[in-house]
Amino acid sequence: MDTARRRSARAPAALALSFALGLAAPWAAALDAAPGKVVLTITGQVAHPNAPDRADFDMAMLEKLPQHSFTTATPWYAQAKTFTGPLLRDVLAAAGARGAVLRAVALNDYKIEIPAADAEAFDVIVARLLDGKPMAVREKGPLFIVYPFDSHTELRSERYYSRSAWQLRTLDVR
Amino acid sequence: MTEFDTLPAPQPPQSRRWLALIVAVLLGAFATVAAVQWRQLGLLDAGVHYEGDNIVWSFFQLEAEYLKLRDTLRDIDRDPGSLDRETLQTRYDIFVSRVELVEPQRTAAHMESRPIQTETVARVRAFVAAADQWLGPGAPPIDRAGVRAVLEHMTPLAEPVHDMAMWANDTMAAQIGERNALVREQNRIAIALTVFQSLLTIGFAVIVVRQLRVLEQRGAALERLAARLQEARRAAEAASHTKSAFLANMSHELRTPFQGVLGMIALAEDGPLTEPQAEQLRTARESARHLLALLNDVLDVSTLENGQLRLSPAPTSLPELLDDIEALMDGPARAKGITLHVRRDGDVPVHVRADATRLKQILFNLVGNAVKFTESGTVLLETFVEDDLAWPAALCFRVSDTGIGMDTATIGRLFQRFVQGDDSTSRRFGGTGLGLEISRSLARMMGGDIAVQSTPRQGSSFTLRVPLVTCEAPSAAEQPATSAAAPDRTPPLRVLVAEDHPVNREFLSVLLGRLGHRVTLCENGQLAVEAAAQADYDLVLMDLHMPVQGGLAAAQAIRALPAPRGDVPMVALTADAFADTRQRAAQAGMNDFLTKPVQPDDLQRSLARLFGRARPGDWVPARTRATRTAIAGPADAAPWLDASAPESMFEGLPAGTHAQLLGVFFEDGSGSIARLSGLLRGSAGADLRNAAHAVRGAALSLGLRRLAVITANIETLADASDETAIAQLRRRFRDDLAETHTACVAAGWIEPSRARAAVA
Repeated sequence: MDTARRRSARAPAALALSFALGLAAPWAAALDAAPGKVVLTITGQVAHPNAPDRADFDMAMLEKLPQHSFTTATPWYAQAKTFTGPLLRDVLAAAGARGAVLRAVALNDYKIEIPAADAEAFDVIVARLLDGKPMAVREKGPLFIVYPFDSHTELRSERYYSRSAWQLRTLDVR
Repeated sequence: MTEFDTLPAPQPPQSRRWLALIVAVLLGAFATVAAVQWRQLGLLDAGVHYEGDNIVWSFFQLEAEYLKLRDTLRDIDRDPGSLDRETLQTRYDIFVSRVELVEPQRTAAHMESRPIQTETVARVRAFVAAADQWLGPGAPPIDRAGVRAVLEHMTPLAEPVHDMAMWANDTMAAQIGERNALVREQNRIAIALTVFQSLLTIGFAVIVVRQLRVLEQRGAALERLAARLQEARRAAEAASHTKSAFLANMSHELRTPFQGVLGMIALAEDGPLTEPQAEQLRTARESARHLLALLNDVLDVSTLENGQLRLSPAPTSLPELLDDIEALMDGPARAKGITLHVRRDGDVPVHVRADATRLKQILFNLVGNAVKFTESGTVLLETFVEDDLAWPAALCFRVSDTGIGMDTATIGRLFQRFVQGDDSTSRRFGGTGLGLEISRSLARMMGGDIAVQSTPRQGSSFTLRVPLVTCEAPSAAEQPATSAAAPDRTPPLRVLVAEDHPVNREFLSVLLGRLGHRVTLCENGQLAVEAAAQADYDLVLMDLHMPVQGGLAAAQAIRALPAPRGDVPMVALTADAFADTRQRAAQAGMNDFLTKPVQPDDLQRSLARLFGRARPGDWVPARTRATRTAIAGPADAAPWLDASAPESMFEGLPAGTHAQLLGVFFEDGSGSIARLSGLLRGSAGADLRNAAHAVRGAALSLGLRRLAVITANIETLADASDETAIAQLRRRFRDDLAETHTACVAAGWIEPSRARAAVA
């Protein structure tokens, strides 16, 4: 009861955020529980939780979101690689996430703070495919936050390289 | 050249070379600094990539993940119940994912690989290969034995993995140190270059400041020079002005003695002359006239230059003006066998507002030139109105001739001072070369100009254009003494002449006497005022410069007399032709103004202005005179009459003058015949000689040969003769007088009805 009330109280705000972000996607209204293995958890200020105080995503849910793909050079591979996955802002919208800062936590407990504005300013994706193939943990998978480094020169700096968390597991919205 | 001494010498080329060198070095320094900074940017970029995924961090992470995996395995080995396969699998996969980050091929770009790296990585890879049979993709779920086996494979790696991390740390620290040293070095270079640049810039600034100072000095010197030049120009202008004034004064001074020369020549011509003497005197008179023309030109130029010449426009009758031109120029034209035509378009107004004297001066000059430079053919003076829409209406006088013409170069020089067509024309035709310059200056003062068109050997055409200002015919008030106002005051006039110079006085007396007027002479202004107060005169000729009382004061005194004696017309005589003198004379009450030496023409014109035409026919245009008054009697009149004498004497004077003066002579208006007749009855002596001289002068100029001979005889014998001889002369004189009158009538010189009081 308490949760429901909170959720209903937060829904307009999330909707407002969605509109403000220019995203009025239908999935923004609700989020089904993740049936498969959870690969990404969004905690903190989440308007559409599908688990207590969090939004869980399995790979199928991420795959259903609109997919984006780009090829870019990175410091981690000798050659340019093609990354594919949903836009970070779509993932946040799906969870009804609202906040200024995203704290990304990787499988190895690597932690980095990402300004929520980055998701709007750039087409940041939550990559799940590397050169069209799913990424194993030993290949920095299964999820990898990738900025379009080749499209924006200002992204080619340590600041953004450090925000590109691989082996991503959790996003804490503050 | 002292003006230029203070000018700084122009900047020597050496310093310009220095400037160029400094600029070149500066550019080089800028380029070097740019290159250094570009390299620093490169280093920084390299640093960014370096730190992009910190290599050392990768080595330590590998060690950290190694330790985490080992700890997890050890925990499971100690407490098998805690086995969480998924967590272990993730731990293992994370460890594996770290291995490739420390592969030599990935780090080679940033640090040289060493055996410690290659060997350790190889050993780690070997461990992964072995462990993959329990934890690799597709391996069966791991059991406790597997855990122990993996742990056993793993344990020996602890030391090399740690050593590799330490090695990487040391290597990187050394590299960072090197890089920092490099950056520091480059910074030092950059600072040195900046200092160098600053020095160069200061040097540059010093040179620029020096240049500016030199420029400033040059500017100041130029200003001083300009000021000096201005001063020099002022001085030169003042000198030129002084020179002009001197020239004008000299011209005036020359005119007074000149009056004497001309007067004496005129008198000498009246005397008994042999043919060669007459010829010599004629030449002397021509030379004197020419000299006078030159003097007038010089005077005009200097008054023009002084800016003292003023125009005095007044209502002017164009037909009369053109008649004057024609009357004066027809003679010289005919003498050369040239026909002079004067034509006036129908739309040319009769009266215009103009300075008649100056307008005539220009036209005399143009027509005179045309006559002078034309050997045969015609000279045409046309007057017309040009009334284009684009311009104000212009009154135009075009003088065309069939003379020698001019080429373009000559036309270009034409209006320059002292320039004639060319040197040969100058020798051939004489003249000052000032005439056209004066004419153009006058035309421009009138707001007009003179245009020239000419074809060599075909003729020239000069067009004077002046703004057309029409006006009503002058009213009686403006011309108080016209013929209409005083029709009865025809010659003989009673003329009072005030002139201190005896020669000039005598000349005027003769001249006026010859014109048939009665003359009273006095020597100064005071005597003139007394004479004017005591008797009635029709005219006073007043010299302006006289002892005791000057002409201006005398004129004012006469004007102060009660009417009618105070209203007598007065004409000023002066050698001074300045406008302000003319004005002062007018202010003193003078009616007209004559410039010395007084020429018969001038006097005639002045009289005409003041008294109008004495009788109809007196001012018949000259061209008709040729047929009507060709003064050539029949052959049988030869002993009594001589047509050539009056012809030259009256050349240029209106036709009819001769006849009129003959009439006056025989009426004995001046009383000279009566006086001579009276004296012949009594005593001989100076009085008789003077009386004979007066009659002889008139007889000579009128062409009365026999009378001239007899009066010459009387003159010669006056002093030494006895009474018998005198009586004989008296009879001869009386007979000759009567016969001469008869001969004049027979020759058609005078009307038979003309009074002959003296003869009777």
